[in-house]
Amino acid sequence: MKKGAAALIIGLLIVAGIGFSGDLLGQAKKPPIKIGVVADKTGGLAAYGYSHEKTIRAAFAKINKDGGIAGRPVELYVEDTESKPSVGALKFRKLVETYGVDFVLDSNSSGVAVACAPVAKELKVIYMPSADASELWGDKGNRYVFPACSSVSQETKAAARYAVKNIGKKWVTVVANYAWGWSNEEEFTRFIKQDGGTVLASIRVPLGTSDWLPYLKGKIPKEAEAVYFANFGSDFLSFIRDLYAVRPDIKKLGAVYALSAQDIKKLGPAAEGTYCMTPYPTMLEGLNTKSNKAYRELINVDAEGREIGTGVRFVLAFNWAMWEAPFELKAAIEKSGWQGKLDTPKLIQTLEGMSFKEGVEFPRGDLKIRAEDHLPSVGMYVERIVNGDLKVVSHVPAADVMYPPLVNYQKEGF
Amino acid sequence: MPESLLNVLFLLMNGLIWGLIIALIALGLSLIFGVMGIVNMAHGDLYMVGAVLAFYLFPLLGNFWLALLVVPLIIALIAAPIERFVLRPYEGHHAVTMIATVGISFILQQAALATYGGVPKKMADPWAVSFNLFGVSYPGYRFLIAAISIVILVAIGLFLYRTSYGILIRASIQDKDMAAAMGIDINKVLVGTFVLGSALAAIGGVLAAPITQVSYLMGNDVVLLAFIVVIIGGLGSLGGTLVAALSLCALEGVLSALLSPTQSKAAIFVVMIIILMIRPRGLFGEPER
Repeated sequence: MKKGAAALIIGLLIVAGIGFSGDLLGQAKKPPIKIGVVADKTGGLAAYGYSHEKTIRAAFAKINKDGGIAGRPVELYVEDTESKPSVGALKFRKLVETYGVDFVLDSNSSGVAVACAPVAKELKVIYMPSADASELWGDKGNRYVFPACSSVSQETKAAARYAVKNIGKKWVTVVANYAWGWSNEEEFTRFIKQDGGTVLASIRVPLGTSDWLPYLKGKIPKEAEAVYFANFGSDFLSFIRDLYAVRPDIKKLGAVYALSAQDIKKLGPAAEGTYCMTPYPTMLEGLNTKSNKAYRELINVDAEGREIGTGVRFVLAFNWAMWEAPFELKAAIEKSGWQGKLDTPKLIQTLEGMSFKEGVEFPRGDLKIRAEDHLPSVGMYVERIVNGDLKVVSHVPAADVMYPPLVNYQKEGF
Repeated sequence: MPESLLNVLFLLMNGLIWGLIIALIALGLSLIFGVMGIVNMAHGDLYMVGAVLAFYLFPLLGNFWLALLVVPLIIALIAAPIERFVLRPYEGHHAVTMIATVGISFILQQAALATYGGVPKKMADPWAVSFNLFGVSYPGYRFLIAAISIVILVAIGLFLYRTSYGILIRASIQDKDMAAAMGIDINKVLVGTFVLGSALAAIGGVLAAPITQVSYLMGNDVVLLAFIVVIIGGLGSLGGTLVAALSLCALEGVLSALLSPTQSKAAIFVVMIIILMIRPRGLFGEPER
């Protein structure tokens, strides 16, 4: 009996051995590249997380269909940040330490991105968020962080220039009370002063506030001509309703995102005439190029910005950044010959200063990543609600919104 | 009237209206704590369930006020089994009961997340009329909230102090074991109180839904304030809860005229600490026996 059992076990081991070696000798498949995504699937930014995750999946589906990155297929791992910085940082760690991802993309939340940046450096993983607080290209970023979208400084520089020329000189700022809002408040104030305007009052309102009347009533000086606001989602809906109740005459300019995913037609008279900054026009007619049309087809979005099939409004303000980031990674990995974690410093040096040409992978136009602070060269559009429709009224080219870098990451080690 | 006085009056009125909604929620919490001795950590989530149900029922029924009647019935169907199968088995074990309600809270939140989703949404206005008050185009709906809350509070007061069922509940708050010894069917009182308390929270949610953002986490915002109001008012004192809710929210409103609303919220906590330092059992609380 014992002899029989031993023979059986040895036999099984031999068969298993043949099976495995056959696999090894057979198709020498290249190991996959693992990419993690910290997506804001729930919480205040859930609408953004939805469109970003879909866009990232579409980008890597295209990459895998075209043969992968350096012949290696891409595997995606997606975790939920719950729109909270503490949770986001935890999930970042989980992606790297548990799943072994080589790169991490997304979070739209400046809070989450700021929390994850030091973790990226500690774990030596390249991190490409889609958050725009200016500190991410300054003292809160580091050599491993490559935010793929525009910075609040670029956005507010364009906003202030357009504002003083076309809207008014006396302003009030109303921002969400966290990193992104503070960034908008400080930068807009700085740039509007440079262009000859003034900010008469700065109001900060916590995320998720539903009753804005106590924040607005009696806090907006009579001489104020216009409001620059930084909020989004249902905060924006409450804000625009309550602002109209308090000061129906005042002009409004929104930071990037403010109008994202909103059904403009349903906003009513409270929103009529509102201006909004965006690095990417919501409507196809705002940038009617072959590349942009192709890009929108690949992410399954119609000419008005709605997902075909579900009718869900995509947040197009920044998801182009999560479309371009995968292709930036692909190009840099192939150019630098990156094979694994030990090659990451080489990859970083390749990304710094790299240029990309306009095409379906970069539908907004040519792009260059600045070497010192990783700032991408992004131009701005100004949209306006006119008779219930969203129209592009101005375009500010990338060169006009660049500013001197605040840091030089190239002096940092790895 | 000078501008600043107009502001203060406006903010006071706004605060009182919120105070009425908080009063409803806190009253529910106070009843549950008074009769059952249970610290119900899921109370805020029943408020959330009320708001989510209102969000779905309003377009479905076409009538917001119908939702106000239907929601408490649905909540009764949820609350009664919770009391019978989750809370009653652990009666007397306060720590275990509290943890059990935390579990209920998680279940309610995740259920809402799975069905309603993670994105906070705004409901349509049930009454799209505005009044020009204190220089603001004030939504008429907020006055309706105030009116309905007052009606409900008066009705609850009459129920508790003028009906025999009300006497049963108040007797059970005073001394549950004595009440049982006197022949009162204490189980019926327990289930009835829990359902009533939960229904009050849910009605608070229905009323708040059009002026706030309906999200699966909205319970967390109110549950803390509700507990503070119950403690400041005095544990076991229903009148104290009402007074505390209205005064604290009115005070927060008035302070927003001088400070920013965020600072006023912090100031309310300072007020709470001072009150508790001077009177640890709350404004109208019973002394420890």
